[in-house]
Amino acid sequence: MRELIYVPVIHSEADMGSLAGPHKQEFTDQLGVYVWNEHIQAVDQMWEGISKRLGKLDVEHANLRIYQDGLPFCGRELDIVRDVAAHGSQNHRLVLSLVQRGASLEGTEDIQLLLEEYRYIQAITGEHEAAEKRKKAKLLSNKRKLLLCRRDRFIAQRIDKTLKEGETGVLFAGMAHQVDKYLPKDIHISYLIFRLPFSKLHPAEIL
Amino acid sequence: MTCKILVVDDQPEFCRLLASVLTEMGHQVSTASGGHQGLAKIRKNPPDLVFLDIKMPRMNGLECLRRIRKFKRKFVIVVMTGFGDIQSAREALRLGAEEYISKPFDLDDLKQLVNELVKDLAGGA
Repeated sequence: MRELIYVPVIHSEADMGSLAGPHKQEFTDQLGVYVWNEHIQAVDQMWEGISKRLGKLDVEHANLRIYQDGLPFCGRELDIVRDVAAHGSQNHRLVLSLVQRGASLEGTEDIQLLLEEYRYIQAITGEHEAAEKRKKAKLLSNKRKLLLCRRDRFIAQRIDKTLKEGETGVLFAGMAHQVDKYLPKDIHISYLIFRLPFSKLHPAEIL
Repeated sequence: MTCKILVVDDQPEFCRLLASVLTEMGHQVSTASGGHQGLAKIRKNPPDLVFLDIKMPRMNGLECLRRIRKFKRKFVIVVMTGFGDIQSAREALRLGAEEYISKPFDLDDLKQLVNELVKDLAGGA
């Protein structure tokens, strides 16, 4: 039996590594700085709740395999998690603490697809006029949706290839992802949700 | 700020517990044991905030949310679930819910959430 705990999340600026700047800019351009600050606060509370709930699960850490959206399959996964955690990401701090207690960390995403997503975000945030940004975002919206499907298929394949019988995977993935659609049927999925503050979502996470 | 809050859940014990916590916080609380009763109460006395359970017999929470969204007046909706999954979360988001929380929850977390939503309501008023 293979188990997967799917943790849908809303990302904070600190989770995003090099995408943090453009992500924040895209958000504040559309919704303003006040909403951004509220978004940060709500997301922090969500992570505290997720940590608490994960801590209560009766699982052997040595049998846990961690998957993280945005984390490329590149051989430097742990360095990346350490680095992003050091920059204040609660998501990556939690991943790091699970690894320190014996869980295995898996490279989760295709680096080429992540670079493609980065280029789309840069193309939007590179526009100076708000109207142009909106136009560009609309133009790229379908391409980003298709890209997200490709990313989700890749993540599902990574889980299928690496999660062994008797193990439990934990997948942290943003609200826009639908990795569960592409997972094989023999993986039993349960969801761990504390709260999802929809009103504080980043525009790119609204489907 | 005192808010009018409606709790829609088919479990009477849960409704009573939530209502007593919210009343203690100073809000005016009413309860409904299902989607149809919830909609009737919304029509009669529109609340500011609705706590809506997903899993209910006859009319589930998402169907109720779909119908609530047809009302002209807008309410803040918190969807509650004991069996959260990404599909129902995405559906609740698409239907305009502000929050999606899973049961059981700590009372402190609940109070914090309500205070946040009330603050937002006061800011938007």
